Amino acid sequence: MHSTHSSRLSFSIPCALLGVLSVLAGCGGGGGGGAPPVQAKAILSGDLRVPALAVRTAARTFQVDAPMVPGEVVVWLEDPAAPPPDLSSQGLELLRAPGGPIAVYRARDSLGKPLAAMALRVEDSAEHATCAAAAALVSDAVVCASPNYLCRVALEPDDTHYDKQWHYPQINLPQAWDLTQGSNNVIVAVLDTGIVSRHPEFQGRLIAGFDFVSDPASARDGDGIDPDPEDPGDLATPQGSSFHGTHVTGTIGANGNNRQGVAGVDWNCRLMPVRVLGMNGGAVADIANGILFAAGLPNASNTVPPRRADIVNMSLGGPGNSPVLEQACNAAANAGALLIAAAGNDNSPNPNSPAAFASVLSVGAVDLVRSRAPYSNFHTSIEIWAPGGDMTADRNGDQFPDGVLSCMADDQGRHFFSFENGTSMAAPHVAGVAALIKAANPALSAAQIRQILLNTTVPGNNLPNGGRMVDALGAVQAATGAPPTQPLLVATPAAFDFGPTLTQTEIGLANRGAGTLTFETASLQPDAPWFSGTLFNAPPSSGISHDRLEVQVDRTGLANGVHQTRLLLVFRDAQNQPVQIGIDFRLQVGDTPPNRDDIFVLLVDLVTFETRAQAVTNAATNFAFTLTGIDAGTYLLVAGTDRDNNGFIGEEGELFGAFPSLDTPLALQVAASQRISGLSFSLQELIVIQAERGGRFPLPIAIRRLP
Amino acid sequence: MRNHLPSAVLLLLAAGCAGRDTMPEPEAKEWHGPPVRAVAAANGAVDVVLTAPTLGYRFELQDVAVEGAVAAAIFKLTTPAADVLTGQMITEHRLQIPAERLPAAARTVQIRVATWQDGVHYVMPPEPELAATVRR
Repeated sequence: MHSTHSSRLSFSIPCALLGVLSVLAGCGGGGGGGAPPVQAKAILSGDLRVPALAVRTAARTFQVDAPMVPGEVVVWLEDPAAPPPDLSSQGLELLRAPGGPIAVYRARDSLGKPLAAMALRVEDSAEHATCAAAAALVSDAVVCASPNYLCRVALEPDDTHYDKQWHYPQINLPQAWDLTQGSNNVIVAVLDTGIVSRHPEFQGRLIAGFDFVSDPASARDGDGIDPDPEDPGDLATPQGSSFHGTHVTGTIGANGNNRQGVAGVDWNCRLMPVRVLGMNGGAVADIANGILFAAGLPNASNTVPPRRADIVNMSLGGPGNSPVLEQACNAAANAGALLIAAAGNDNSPNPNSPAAFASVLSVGAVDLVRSRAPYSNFHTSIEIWAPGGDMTADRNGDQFPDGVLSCMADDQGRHFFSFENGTSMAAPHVAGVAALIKAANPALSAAQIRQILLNTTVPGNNLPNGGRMVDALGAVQAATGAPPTQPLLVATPAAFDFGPTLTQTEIGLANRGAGTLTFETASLQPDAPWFSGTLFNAPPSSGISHDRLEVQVDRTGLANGVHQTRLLLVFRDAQNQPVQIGIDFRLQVGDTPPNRDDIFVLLVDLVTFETRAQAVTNAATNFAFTLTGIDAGTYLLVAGTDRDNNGFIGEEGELFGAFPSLDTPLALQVAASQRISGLSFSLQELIVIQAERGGRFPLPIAIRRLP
Repeated sequence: MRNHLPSAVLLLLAAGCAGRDTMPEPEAKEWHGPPVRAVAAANGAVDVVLTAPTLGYRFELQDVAVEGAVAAAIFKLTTPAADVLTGQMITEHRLQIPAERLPAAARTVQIRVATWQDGVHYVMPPEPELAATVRR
């Protein structure tokens, strides 16, 4: 069938790149007897290679803190089938018992008034609710009781690709975002390749910087140092430029919770791009001047910013040891800036500068399971570790490499997002958390911020030299200075996906609040015989009885597919009240489930961009297709899903492909009555993420399908 | 065969390749540089990927020498100067040896890489090292 519905192609295939593919007709052999009937129209057939469904990473975090529904007590009934007991003699009024073993009562004061109806401070209500819970236990009909604690999911931004940013829950950022998302009174300088200032994720956030690349050939912007830190591209690889500074800046401060793209660590800080890396790297003199500029000190530009940076990120390094560079770092630190640098990617115990300087906070890189990333240096000067990723692995089985996802651009001026890995990616996590600390307490000096970062670290996974990881929640809590009054039970990470191959992991448990927590019970919902765990005692005075959970999973005998469970851990506080936390676990057995989408195969007229023919295929037919009734002409053969059913394929979030490949689509020249078979090509997710550096990647192109 | 190829490569190809399909024992130095992998593409080309630990590296195809069933593709890797600082991001360099430079008879392709460093003056050019081998 054919139609004249128009298609919307938002990318253009330059004619020079189009090859005209003459495909041999796939006519069937003729048998004996008369000639085969002449086909007035052409027929095209083939099949599609469709990716299996991706297992989404469970990135949700979960925390319990002591605030509760004022005046309410929740009880577990001995006999769910019996009517809820009358607890009025204990000062409790039944609120609701919808069925099952759980009922909720309201505590009343000595005058018989419901506590919730009175203007009580939360603390008062908590005390009454606690007493009332104890009172409920007097009844034989009640197994256990507690105040109706509030359990909530920590803040998670609604950015489109946040679910792929595993590196943020790893450092307890969602919990930290509950306390602060940053402040525009904090300035972070990024000494790097410059910035792609028009990237949508930086709008409203950039302040004036400078370009200190003094060699015009290396700068590629036609001059030496100048006030424009725009990144013109460094042609770092045969495939194109790195736009390293854009990726690093995105981790520090991409706009968060804006329903698009990715989130940064700090959603509000101001970002000062200082260009110091050109095509051939960065000269010591240029970098030293960039440091001085960021710190508001005299420098080669003969200018200083209106306000110096609070934090300076340097995702750069080298094996040399320049006293000039060290002098610049010392001067900047003395002027009040906190300097943070990447430790280096040589898998070496050797120091890297400037990270190894005493005045600079050195950051090593961990992978998705909090182990040292295989490339990360491990010199003793490394003071803190943060996610840098490992793109040789996909440990969570989400079909993306385990890199750090952030902003990216290309030499064609396009803006998108990419996974990268390196200690370059680790340092900006720490810089962003430093910015959150400063936002939580503007009075803190750089030295105090640095000390908070180091005092609030948490264990990684066998990091060298006793290394520990940045913890955003602990750092921001410490910054506020206000001591908590209730226990706060936190698991890190709060969810874990074993994917198809991982068999063990470690979960850290901590009391980030006041008092003590003592382990009582553990249960799985639903039951999961594939799961086993071991709790380990915590050191004395840590505020919690057990601080480490080792988990092993055994896939033996499990059916193919995804299996998941929630581990409920119940602790008791000093008042013997329960405090619980749920940790989600998931694993995959066997092949990833096949894709169940319907796929629309379209033949698009390259002259008019109209969809001329369409076929619908799916897994039931092994994604085979046949297009009939084709007029002679020149066409583009494409296929994709229309999951949102808006009549277009090729939009972000959909599967899409073009013959013979999306990287190099070719025109099909079809003759009248021609039969063309074997048109096979692959589909891929159009999510504007470049998983492989330098490869051409799909952009949404939105082609209208036939109704 | 081009005369400017390092003599070790010439000797290696001449001694090892006549009338044989198998790869001669490499006499060249073992590769100690960044990881290199090579894959034969469907159209007869060979895709080569070098994974550098940081920015600041350059990777170029210099020449392809063919002797019978073995082709030696010579690449030049230039590392950053000792006094330069670079972005600490793992960076892949992807190049392709075009099919037209690899006769069909050359079923074994050796990836040989000569490593230079920016800012260094070389009296003798560095010798290529065997970094990878691929069969087509």
